[in-house]
Order: sequence, then C-alpha cells, then structure tokens
Amino acid sequence: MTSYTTSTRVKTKSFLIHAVMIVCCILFIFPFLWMALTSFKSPQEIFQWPPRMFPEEWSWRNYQEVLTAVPLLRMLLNSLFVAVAVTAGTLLFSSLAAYSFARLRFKGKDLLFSMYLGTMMVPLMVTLIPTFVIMRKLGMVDTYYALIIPGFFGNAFGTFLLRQFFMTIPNQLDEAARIDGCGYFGIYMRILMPLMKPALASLFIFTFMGVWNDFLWPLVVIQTESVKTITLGLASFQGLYTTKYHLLMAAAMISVLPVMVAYISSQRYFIEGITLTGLKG
Amino acid sequence: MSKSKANKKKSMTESAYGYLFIAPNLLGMMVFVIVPIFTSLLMSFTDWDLINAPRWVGLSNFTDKMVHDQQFWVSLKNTFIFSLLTIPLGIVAAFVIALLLNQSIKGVNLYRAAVFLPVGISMISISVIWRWILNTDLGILNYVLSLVNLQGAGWLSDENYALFSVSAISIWKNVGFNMVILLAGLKGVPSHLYEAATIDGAGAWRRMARITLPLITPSLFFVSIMSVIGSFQVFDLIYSTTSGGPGDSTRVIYYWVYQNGFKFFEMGYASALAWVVFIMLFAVTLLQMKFFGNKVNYEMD
Repeated sequence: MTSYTTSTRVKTKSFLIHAVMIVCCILFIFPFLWMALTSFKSPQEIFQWPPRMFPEEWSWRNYQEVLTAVPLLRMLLNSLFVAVAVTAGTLLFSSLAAYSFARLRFKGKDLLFSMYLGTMMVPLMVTLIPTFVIMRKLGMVDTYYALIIPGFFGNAFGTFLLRQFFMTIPNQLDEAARIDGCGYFGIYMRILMPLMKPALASLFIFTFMGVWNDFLWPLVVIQTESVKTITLGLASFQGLYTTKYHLLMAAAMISVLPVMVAYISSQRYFIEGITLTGLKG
Repeated sequence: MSKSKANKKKSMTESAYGYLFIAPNLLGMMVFVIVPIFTSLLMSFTDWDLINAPRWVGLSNFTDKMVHDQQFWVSLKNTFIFSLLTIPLGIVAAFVIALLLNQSIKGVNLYRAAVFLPVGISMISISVIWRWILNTDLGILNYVLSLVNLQGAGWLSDENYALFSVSAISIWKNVGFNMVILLAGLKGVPSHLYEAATIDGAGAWRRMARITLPLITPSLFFVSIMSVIGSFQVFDLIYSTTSGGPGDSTRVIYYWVYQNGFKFFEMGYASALAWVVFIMLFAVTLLQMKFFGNKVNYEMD
C-alpha cells in the first residue's frame, strides 16, 4: 500500500515537471518557429486577421527579394571571415600569454596580471570612443581591419581563463620535458597545448560567438554595405524595412540559421564551456 | 660558482621567453584597452566634437552638464528599473528551471537545449523576431490574448509597457545561460547530504534553505555578477526594438552614451557618461562581493 502511494506520487511529480517543461519549450521555441513560418508567407498574409499558423502557399519569394535588396550572403561571409580571424588570433596570443603567466618567471608579472584582471571590469563603452579614434587615426575605419585588429591579439578574459587551466596541469610534466631537452616553446606547443583542448574549445566558442554576435563595435566603425557583418546587416535591413515583416523574417532566418545549425551540433561544448568558466572564473 | 652562473643564465632566458610570449597579447591590451581607458578618462574632462581640437573643461561635464541633463537621469532610472526587473526575475526563473531539470526525468537534455536556444543567437535577430510577435495590430501575442478575451496592447509602442516588454525579452534570452550555471551548481551538491537531512526529518523547504542554497552560492554569485554587468550594459536590444522610445521610456544609460558619442559627436561628454557607468558598475560589484563574500561556501569543491 505504502509503495503504491509513493509510486503514484513520483508519477504525478514527474508528470507535473514534464508539463511545466513542455510549456517552457514552447515558450522558447515558438518565436523561432513563428519567424520561420512568417518568412514563407506572402505580404498579404502578413496583414491577415486572424493570423494563420501555416502559410497558404509556401514561397521563396521573400528570400529572393531580401537577397537582391541587401547582400546578406556576403555579410554572412564577412562575419565568418572576421570571426575566424579574431578567434585564431585570440587562441594563439591569449594561450601564449597565459602560458607565460602560469609557468614562466619574469619581473613585473604579478603587476601585469593584476592589470589584466583590473581591465576585465571596465565596460566596453569606456574604451569604445578612444578605440574608434585610434582606428580613425590609422585610417582603418570602414575596413575589415577595424573589425579584426582590436580583438586579434587576444583579450584579458581569454588569457585569464587559459591561465587558470594551465595552473591545473601538474608542473612535473614541464620539468620532465625540460630534462629531455625541450625548450619553453616546445613545452607550450607539444606538452601543454594538447592537454588544454577542452579549455581551448570553450574559448573558441566564446570568442567566435562573441565576434559573430557583436553589434556595437561594427555599428560604430562600418558604413559600407559590403563590409558589414551579418548582425549589423540585419539591423540596417530592419532600419530600411521597418514594418515589412515577411521580408524581415526571411532576413532574420538567413542570419539565424547558420548559427543555429552550428550551435545545435556543438551545444554540448558550449554548455560545458559556460559551466567550466562559471566554476573557474 | 659555475652552477649559479648557469642558473642565472637560465632565469635570464626564462624571463626573456616570458616577455616574448606575453608581448603580442600585451601590445593588443595596451593599444586597445589600457591606453583607451586613460584616454577616455582624459577625454571626460574635455569638450570635443572630433573635428576641432579638444577643449579642456575640467569637471564641468560631470558637475554642470550631467547634473542638468534630464535625459541622463531618465536613462539612469530606466537602467535601474530594467536591472531590478531582469536580474531577480531572470535568476529566480533560471533557478526554478534548473531545479526541475535536476530531477531524474526523461528528456532533460532536450528541455535544457530548448531553454538554452536563445543564448547563442544575436540580440539583433531576437529583437527582430520579438518586434513581430509583439506588434500591436498584427502580432501573434495580441491575437492569442484576444482568443481568451484579453485586451492586447502596444507592447513596444506604449510608454507604459515598453520598458517591461524589453525586460521580458532580455529575461527570455538570458535565462538559459543562468540556468546552465545553476544546474551545474546543483549537480555539484552531494546527494548524501539530502539523504542524511531527510533521515533527520528535514522537509523540502528546510533542505533547500540549509543545503541547496548555501552550497550553490558560488554559482549564484557568478550568475548575479554576470547579470548586473549585462543589464547595466544593455544596448543591442534597445537599439533594435525601441531606439529608446516611445518618448524616453526605454532610453537606458548605454544607449544615451552611444547617442552622445556617435550621434551628437559629444565625445567628451560621452566619455564622462561612460565613466559614470563604470564607477557605478564597480560599486555594485563590490557590494555583491561583500554580500556574497561571507556566504560563499567553497568547502565542498
């Protein structure tokens, strides 16, 4: 009798959890679904009241119109190019600096490291205007250089994160390698970096997504259509076609789809990365 | 003698490599972070339109201009309301979902993925989507409300609702991030503690207050720090949904800094505003550290 009531209680409990979570799922997935469905509807259907769930006739016309109005595919490639360049630079230069902070002894190290930590608190808005002025002085405004160079040499967050991971690798490995005649760069490259794969994967995803989704910086430095990133491109498209929601949804689809595919396939790493950072940072 | 010489040489090369490896990263930090921080501070004492030479105005950006800037105070108020709405609600919602997903049920991964979906999508795309859903005349939300005989509203076009609406969108986007961190925190609580407490007759609330909450304070701390930083710096969302309107109802501080710098070309005043945001953020973070400082429990790590 007792076991019977316990098992019904467990069942009711898990039923309730599933019910709540299914409502949650709808809440989080429906907006994306609605975007997708709207993107295939005709302009007349957008104004139809009551709105219909599925398009009367599925049509690619909105996509054709969007792609002839704004070079969104070019902008996707721009985003990819910029994100790959910045991420590659960040992984290389932040990991080198992190190795140096974690393992090598040199004068002023502690001071430099606290300076790094200090800058992590500073909001982007503080450095935005001077960085813009520097870019203008260098004549790089409105070019790919403006999008790539400020992030290319890595950042304090990346260096800090990787340093924390280098610290968890036992020092004996370095010493053994050094006895075997391995130099500092060899230890970094051949011994430690292979062990850093999970941390590097997290930083890769963070940096890539950060650059891909960045909006404020491209907004400030880029005016030319053909240099715009997809995020900026979508925002300026919205500025031009404020209420043409059938076109806006097609444009949004083009901007969201590649990210979503990449994201769903690598979500495990993404979530692991966030948890790792949350615990280490 | 020769040994210490060798040691000295070794430490020489060691520090040479130390500087060498750090050099590119440090150069980037210097040019794009450290120098800009100090330049920005200097700029905040000037009047500069980017074209004419900057004019030194001392503290007047802070003591005169800012004090009399109605928009500044409104944007500050809006930022605080936005933060007070998004931070507690965002964390509580994430905590509840994390608790549910910490139960042994089927499909946890699927549920987690769904809640997490908006986290990696750009705020601009998300704003574009929500503007359509919240549209006054044609939006699906007002239609659904009309089905249950509720009066719809101009969620983003009515001064009384706009700030609440953008707060809701912000919570919706970020709840997955907080949930993932809190879920990891919950998974780290050893189950034998719950078993022992249950045997001792502790009820669900007591277990929550005495075991769960104390042991996940590091995760709560991290989540609250990140939420404060995010909500003080909200920009993309405002830019692409309401542009600060209608009226001034959603103009937040970051948006006001941006407008001063890149619309009115008041580089000096914009820098002064940016520094005020920085100082406030710094103060709030210190308060959080003080608040969590004596509560953070790392013993179980």
